[in-house]
Amino acid sequence: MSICAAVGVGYEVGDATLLHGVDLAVAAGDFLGIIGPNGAGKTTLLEVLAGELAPTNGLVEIDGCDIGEITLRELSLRRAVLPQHHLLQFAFRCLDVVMMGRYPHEGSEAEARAVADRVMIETDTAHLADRLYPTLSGGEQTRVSLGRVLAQSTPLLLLDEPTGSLDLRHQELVMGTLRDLAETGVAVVAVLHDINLAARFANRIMIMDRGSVRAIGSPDDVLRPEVLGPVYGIDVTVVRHPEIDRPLILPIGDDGRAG
Amino acid sequence: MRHLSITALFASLALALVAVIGLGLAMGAVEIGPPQVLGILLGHIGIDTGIDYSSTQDAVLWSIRLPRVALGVAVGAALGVAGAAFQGIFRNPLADPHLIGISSGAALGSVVAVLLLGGLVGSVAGPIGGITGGLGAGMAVYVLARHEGRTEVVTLVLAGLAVAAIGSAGAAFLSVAADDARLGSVLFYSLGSLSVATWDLLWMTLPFVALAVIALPLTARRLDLVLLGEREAAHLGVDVERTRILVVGLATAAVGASVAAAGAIGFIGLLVPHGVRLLAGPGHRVLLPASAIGGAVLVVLADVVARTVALPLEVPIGLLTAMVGGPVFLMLLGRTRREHGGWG
Repeated sequence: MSICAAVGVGYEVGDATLLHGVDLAVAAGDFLGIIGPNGAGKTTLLEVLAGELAPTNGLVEIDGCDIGEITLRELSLRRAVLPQHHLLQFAFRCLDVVMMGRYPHEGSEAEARAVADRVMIETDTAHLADRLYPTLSGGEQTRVSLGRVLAQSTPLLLLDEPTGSLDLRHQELVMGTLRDLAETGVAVVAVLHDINLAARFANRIMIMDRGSVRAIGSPDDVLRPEVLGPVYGIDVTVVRHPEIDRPLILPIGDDGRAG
Repeated sequence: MRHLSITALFASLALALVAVIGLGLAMGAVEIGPPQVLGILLGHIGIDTGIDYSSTQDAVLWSIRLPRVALGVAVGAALGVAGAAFQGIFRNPLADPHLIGISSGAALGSVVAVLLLGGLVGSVAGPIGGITGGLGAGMAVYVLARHEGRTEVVTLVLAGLAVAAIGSAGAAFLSVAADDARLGSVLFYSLGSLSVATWDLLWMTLPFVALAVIALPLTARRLDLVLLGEREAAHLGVDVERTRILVVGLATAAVGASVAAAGAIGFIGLLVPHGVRLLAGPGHRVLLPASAIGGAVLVVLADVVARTVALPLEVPIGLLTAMVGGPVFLMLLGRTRREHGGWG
């Protein structure tokens, strides 16, 4: 059974249709990468799946229940959300921030601490534990926030650009951690800007454009020039990654110098 | 900066509170030494210490200074804890009850209630009017400052300024319309003073303050999560809207009651939580109770200064806190601008 499903989901604000007829099912162990150009509706979809926005059409289900029927409290045990922007401006220590992710579990301080210590190693933030969150760099803040989300220990993760402002090494680390989590049965849904990162780590890719799903399937099925070209409005070529069995997407320059 | 340990923080605050209470009881026009203070206090709870004191000293201490100091503790605790709570729930370190218009709304409410019901400063009409006025102002500022589910810093401060101006103008208008006998009460609420403290007034104020001081810390963890962002708090299972109503309601009632008893005393709710955050970090489990004690210390201390610095005159305490608080607020504004790259 799918952990999270969208059935004919639409979302409209005023005259604008941000989502249109989105169907989606995510099962335990899935690592779904959502890609698409700016304004495609990726973040809106994530907010609808998180239960933050009520769809104006269709239905979102978590574990087979209409998400609108699930209390905030119950929802916080079933899914965790990493927003794209991190707003905390008060000087909490990073360890405190990560431990906040344990709030829904109502466990002991010691248990929260143990979980926090573990996820801070997974996100390579253990050395930041005593640092004050607002003093971190953007990439460090993203990793600490991801640590808070992982500390929530939910079967479903909804992540908006978990690799945003991360350096190359930490992109690999975070994506590897997410893939490992998926292999243990967590369902991961991540909006990703880097197509090649999505191609390498996600086992399913969804391509969105103007509020609709253009393609969904394995990286090899959907990451094809004839699909990506029209969506992004540029010509691309797809080659094999020289080291691993995944597609590698390269833009073709049209200015006569590159390409 | 390394934060102070919780034990060290509360121990120093408790010590400071005992010290300023002692100071508040011993200082004044009638000389009462520390031994006499002790003798009179113990005498009233039925313990004969054999310390010699006059009946004047007894009357001054028991009927004037003690209720005044106790009211100072209550008012300061209310302003401190409410300031910390407003700043948390609005995610804005500048949300002081005075600045966001709640104090002047409460002051106007108290003035109206006192004038309409023909009562005097210190009557039961005060707290009712104060709380109603505070809630009205709070709701007005809140509705004005909300935009698409967010409370904007600039709009909050500006809406607060506008509501505060309307409140002050209302009180000023009433002061023009009022006869001489009632003019005093208008000024009293605008400037702030602990001079009318009585046991009755204390008992009227205390329940609202006690409720806030006890109940607000129960929302501490939720307030911490709200600081992450309202969406993030909701993701973690916090009903932000309900928490907001609860926190704003408790804090406003405490501020309203304190304004009704002692007028609008500014900047305590801004300075104290800010100081505590620097010493112990922003976590509300420590911040809320520590701000209550810190507020009490500061108000009792300011009152001692207010009534002794220009003897035989008494300086309104609100004037004193504004003189110190104004510059500190400007400093905070400047810092906020530097850190966030704008006034937003």
